Amino acid sequence: MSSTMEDFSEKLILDGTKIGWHIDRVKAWERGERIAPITIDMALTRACNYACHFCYAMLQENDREVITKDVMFRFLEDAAEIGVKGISFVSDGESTISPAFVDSIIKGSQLGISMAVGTNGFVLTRSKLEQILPHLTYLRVNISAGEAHRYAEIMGVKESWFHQICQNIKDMVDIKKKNKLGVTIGLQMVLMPQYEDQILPLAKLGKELRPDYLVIKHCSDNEDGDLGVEYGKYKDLYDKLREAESYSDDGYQVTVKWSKIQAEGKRSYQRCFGAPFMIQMSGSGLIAPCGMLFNEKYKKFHIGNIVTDRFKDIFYSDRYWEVMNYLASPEFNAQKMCGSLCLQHKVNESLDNHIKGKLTLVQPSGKVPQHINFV
Amino acid sequence: MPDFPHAIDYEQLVADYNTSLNSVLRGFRPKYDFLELWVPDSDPIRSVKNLVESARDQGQQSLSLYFSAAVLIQFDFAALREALKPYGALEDESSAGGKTLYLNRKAANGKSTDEIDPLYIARIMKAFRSLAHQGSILEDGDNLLIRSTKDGISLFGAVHTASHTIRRARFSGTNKTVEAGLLEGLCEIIEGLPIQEAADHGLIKLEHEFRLKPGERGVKGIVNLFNYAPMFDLPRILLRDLYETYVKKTGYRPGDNFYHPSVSQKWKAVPDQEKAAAISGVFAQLLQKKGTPYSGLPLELHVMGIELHHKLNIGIQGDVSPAARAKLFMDFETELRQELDPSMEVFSQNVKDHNAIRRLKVN
Repeated sequence: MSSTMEDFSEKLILDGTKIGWHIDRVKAWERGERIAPITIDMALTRACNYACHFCYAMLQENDREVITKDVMFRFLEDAAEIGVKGISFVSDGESTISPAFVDSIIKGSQLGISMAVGTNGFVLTRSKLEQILPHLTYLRVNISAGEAHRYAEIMGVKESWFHQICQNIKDMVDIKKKNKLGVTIGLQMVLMPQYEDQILPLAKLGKELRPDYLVIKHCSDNEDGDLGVEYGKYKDLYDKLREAESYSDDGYQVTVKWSKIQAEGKRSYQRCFGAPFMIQMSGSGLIAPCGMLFNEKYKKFHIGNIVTDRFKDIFYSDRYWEVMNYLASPEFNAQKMCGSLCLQHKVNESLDNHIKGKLTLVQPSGKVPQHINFV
Repeated sequence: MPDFPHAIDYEQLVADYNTSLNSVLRGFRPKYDFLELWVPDSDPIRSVKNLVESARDQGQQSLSLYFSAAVLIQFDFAALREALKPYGALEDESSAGGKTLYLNRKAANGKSTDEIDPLYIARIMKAFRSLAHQGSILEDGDNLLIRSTKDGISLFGAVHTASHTIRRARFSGTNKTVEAGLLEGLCEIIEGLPIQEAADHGLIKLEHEFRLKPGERGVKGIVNLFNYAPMFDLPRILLRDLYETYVKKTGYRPGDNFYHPSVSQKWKAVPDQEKAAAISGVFAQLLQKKGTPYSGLPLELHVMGIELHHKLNIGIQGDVSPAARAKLFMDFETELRQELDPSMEVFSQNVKDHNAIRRLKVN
């Protein structure tokens, strides 16, 4: 392995948490202060032009409001003011199909917030990419197959869309290279055990398209198991996953989220301490501590909506802290009351171990990792 | 001076004082040392105020006074409470026609001079009044006896080693209100728990249960083990050491903790119709509570189903803002846990995905 790759893997954390790099905020949390989230994961709409089989968003419906450009600008200004460091457009909708998408990325970046996108990438044509890539920390394309016919089956679209996506990824890589941009281009495979046949074709496809990385992750499910993810079956895929990782080379990193896949959907902790550090917002404008709690079913956890209220007012409200405290209290048990392997999982694990004295969070030494504002 | 553990009967105290005036010639003393500066007054409010000042000047941290029905008709109890506000945090409790008033001194910053946060006083006092777990455990059948000690104060556990469950817990070595009250509460909480669960979450359960109200907090942000009031240090250390003693003695190496309390048999046995009625009753009471964004609103509860005795699927009909509705759901769950069963969970109706494209797959 070359030194370049060593540096790269040292910096790009795809299966872990960067919470240790925000020790000032951890200390403020310890003191019982109202800390601003380091990262907000959100969407600009709940709608999507795809119909992926693994889509968790199908379980996240709630009262919809429309997030306009004005709403987003107000929100971004508030977020910057209270100290939010990174905002990713991922969450429960395809943000690229919102008219507010491009302007929001540019505005967030201009306010000093690290911006990122998780997308199916279909509408990201070259001209649009040229506008947004200079303002992004990372752009990650969800692609759960390496062959057109399986892509169409798994992601619920026409086969021809697969070829469009491949072209868009090539354009991303090309624009980055030509303009020497710092943005990281990634691919993500949400792996259900029944997509086993696509692990290696996708790893090979990535090697051809030359994004910076391919990450292969588990599929989350709700506490009722509505998506039918059979966590026990991931074990049968370990050899193939290791083989996929062997496709890594200088500048192309294939990473399996082993820690989550091997957890088999289980949590070692019961309290959710991670939410104040990274909250999620629905494409409806709803603020909830976690995407798994977006559905109207979980009304008791809903905090507010940025369409109807200013974000900073919501953040400073008693309601916000009432919900966050509930999750950290004995009233709540993440093992029983949540879906599996949420966004905050690794942060929760670290903070729970920290609380129990099994791990002491201290300021890490060494180089600051990439994407530090996305914990 | 140690805290005074029992309520002083004010009527009796005055009567004894007056009797002593006639029967004692020299060495006249009130019944309690810390009241040696006190002289009763014909105005009951002024008299009690003097009493509290006397206790304060003698370093008394907390005080419990019982007023019989006969005394209560002589003055306005609310006015007394108002007069005593500057002297500390107050709680009162009605019993047998009378009232007991609990007072705990506070410093100027609102915190107790003895590190008692007013947030916890009422529950500490309540626990202190019935110390059912004070004592030691010398033998307990086949259960393993373990003990931890700090500054002469001990926590005992009798642990069933096959299930690693604490069968009995006791404490000894203190009669102080705060220490004994907290350890009483801790013993009650950890009895019946797996020792790993007690070690992992015993203290946060204690802190949570001892709050004046579940939603009340001592900090603006998140309550966690790093910002508890200092008085929780003693139970924390004793509990930690008790667990470590058990691990040393048995070589116990647990995996992840998956303990979750089950629904009580008592609640399970309640017929469905009665369950629904009880739930509706709690909802009606909640709407009557003042100071909430939904109080007094004409809202209607619809119980759609109760899964596994504790997962309540409900709808609430009526005009209420989304923010107030969300709070109502959370508050309702809290009330149900307090009034009916600690396992209760409240859910609104699940909403299906509205997205036309994604729905193609679902349908």
